[in-house]
Amino acid sequence: MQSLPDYYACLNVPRSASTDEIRQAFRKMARRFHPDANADPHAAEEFKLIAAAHETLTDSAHRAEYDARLSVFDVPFSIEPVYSRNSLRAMPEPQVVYCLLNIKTIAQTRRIAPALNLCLVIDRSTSMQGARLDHTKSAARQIIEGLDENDFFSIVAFSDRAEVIFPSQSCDNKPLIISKVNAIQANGGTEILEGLMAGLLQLQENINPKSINHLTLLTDGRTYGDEENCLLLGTLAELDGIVISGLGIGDEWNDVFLDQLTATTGGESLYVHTIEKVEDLMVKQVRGIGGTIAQRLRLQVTCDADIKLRSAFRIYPEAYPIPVDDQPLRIGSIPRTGISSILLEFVVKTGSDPRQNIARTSITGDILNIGRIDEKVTADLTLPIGNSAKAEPPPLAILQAMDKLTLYRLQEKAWAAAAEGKVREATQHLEMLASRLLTTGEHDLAQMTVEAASRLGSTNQIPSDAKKRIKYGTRAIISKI
Amino acid sequence: MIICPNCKHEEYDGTLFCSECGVRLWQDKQGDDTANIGHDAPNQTDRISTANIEHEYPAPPSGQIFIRIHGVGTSMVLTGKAEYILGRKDPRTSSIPDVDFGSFGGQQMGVSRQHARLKYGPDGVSIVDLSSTNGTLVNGKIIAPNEPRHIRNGDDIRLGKLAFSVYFAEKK
Ligand SMILES: [Zn+2]
Repeated sequence: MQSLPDYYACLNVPRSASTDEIRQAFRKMARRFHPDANADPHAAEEFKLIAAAHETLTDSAHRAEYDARLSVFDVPFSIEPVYSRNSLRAMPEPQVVYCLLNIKTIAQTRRIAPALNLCLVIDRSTSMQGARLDHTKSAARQIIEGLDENDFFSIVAFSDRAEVIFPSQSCDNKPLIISKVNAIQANGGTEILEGLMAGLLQLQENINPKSINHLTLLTDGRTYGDEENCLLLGTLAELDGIVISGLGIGDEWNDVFLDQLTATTGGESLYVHTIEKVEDLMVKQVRGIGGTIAQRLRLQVTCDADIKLRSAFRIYPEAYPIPVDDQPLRIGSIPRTGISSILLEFVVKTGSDPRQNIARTSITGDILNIGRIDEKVTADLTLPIGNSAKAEPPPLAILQAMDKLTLYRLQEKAWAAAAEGKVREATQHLEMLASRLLTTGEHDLAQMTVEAASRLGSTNQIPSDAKKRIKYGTRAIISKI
Repeated sequence: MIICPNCKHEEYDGTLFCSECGVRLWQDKQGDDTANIGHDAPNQTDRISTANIEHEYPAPPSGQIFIRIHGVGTSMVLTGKAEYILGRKDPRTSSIPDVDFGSFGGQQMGVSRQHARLKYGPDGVSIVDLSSTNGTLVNGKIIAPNEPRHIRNGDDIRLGKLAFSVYFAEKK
């Protein structure tokens, strides 16, 4: 199949660009590639392409025709929905339908390995002293060793204030960076805002929409009073195309806050329950980031009348809940494998049409391996209204996802009840979770859950270490599917 | 609405797993054969199989009765006697039944102090309602007071609103 030149990529504009934006982009590109200004042998060819792009895209009739052809030839990624049921029932009561959105990138021959612009922000508060800091430094060294010379790297250490250990630059002198890392000493309190701000400023030095711009925050403490400002910084980072991921060590750190912060950017948070695992987790995480095919995916779910999006959960690659009250939903990245899955839960009231429209979903994101930003793809979710007696069993993929997700939700319920002082309700939920975990074959986690239930029952205190292990443990089960 | 067979929590039609207790609410083909409340219960719970609960709780050793209270995930083992009084402890009198549902909300759920009697004999297990205020239901059907009713492994019993399942080896 002959592929169509991608005029939008040529002009480096999103497909939604206005005529004015296209004209402006053309002038910019023309200055770079006009044969009078550029002696490179490919410049003339490139210029021709740019001129053709300009000519086509500024004429609305030609542009529409081109867009139609482009959509057939060259869709950078697709949304494939799988529903929990093959039809809805005609009834006045609300009903539930789950929809698993599989987002796939379409294989491209032209592959660009995107550059990495990475900043490590490390907690160096007094509590990090000893094994925690030693293992963290060792993790940082391994990450540095694995970087490409063209990658940009920076590292910030923070306590009550932040210090730039190594400013953002390409890593052609790794021994120098490593010696700086080795000199980090533990001292002071934990003010995440300070570290976050310094780290984001470093990333800004070499920010590029076609690179992977990533901040990894590692902390073992709780930040007080600056959470709101941290979340605000997260929102600003997201606008700049920066993803924040987090690692929490021990049981002091605030998991709810770290989840919120990373969720604003579509990043993930992880729990380091034994310090010896920190190297593994961090190195694996950075390696995963490096393999990103698409990033900054934002999902807009526009529900039809009488339909509500009740919850959203990322199932793959890393599982985490996605807050639904703030659209578009930040759904993270597509890893090396080229696929990402999001589970949406809708509450539907059927109308009078034989076919019920549920929602329009649009995903916007940067497809890094072909160097395109702000690509958009749209899919409508819709189901027929049919005879429930002939209902098919739900597809296995949905059952598995919901089965595992139910485990995660049980522990959420338990901790929520415990936080309200409803100890008995909380221990009951934990006991149910434990028996479900046993039947799933998760014996260790089941055992831990039983112990947590009895500790909660006897002390009326939430065991915070067990809470985090159960929370992140049940989350990890979801992405195992 | 569908009602969770395990904890009686109400969920919207189409829900796959109970949000309260995590039990699955969808029915598959194997589930149809082992469902044991379907034919008796005329209410909406008959759409749901309790098969998975049975799989999780195979019959205990002969002579023992397992009671699994719905919605709380708590199981009790009754052993060593031929008869057990089910009810709730009354703090004003010294009467204590063999199985005390008081700490599981028995009073609010309408369990009488002496509500019913479970009997494990050579030919199996039976239950008798002891003229309780709110009655005893077996698999969703109310039983006549003071008349022993034979029950089977996995049957669903309700004392007032308090529901539990009973598991035992059919032959003692
Ligand atoms: Zn339930």
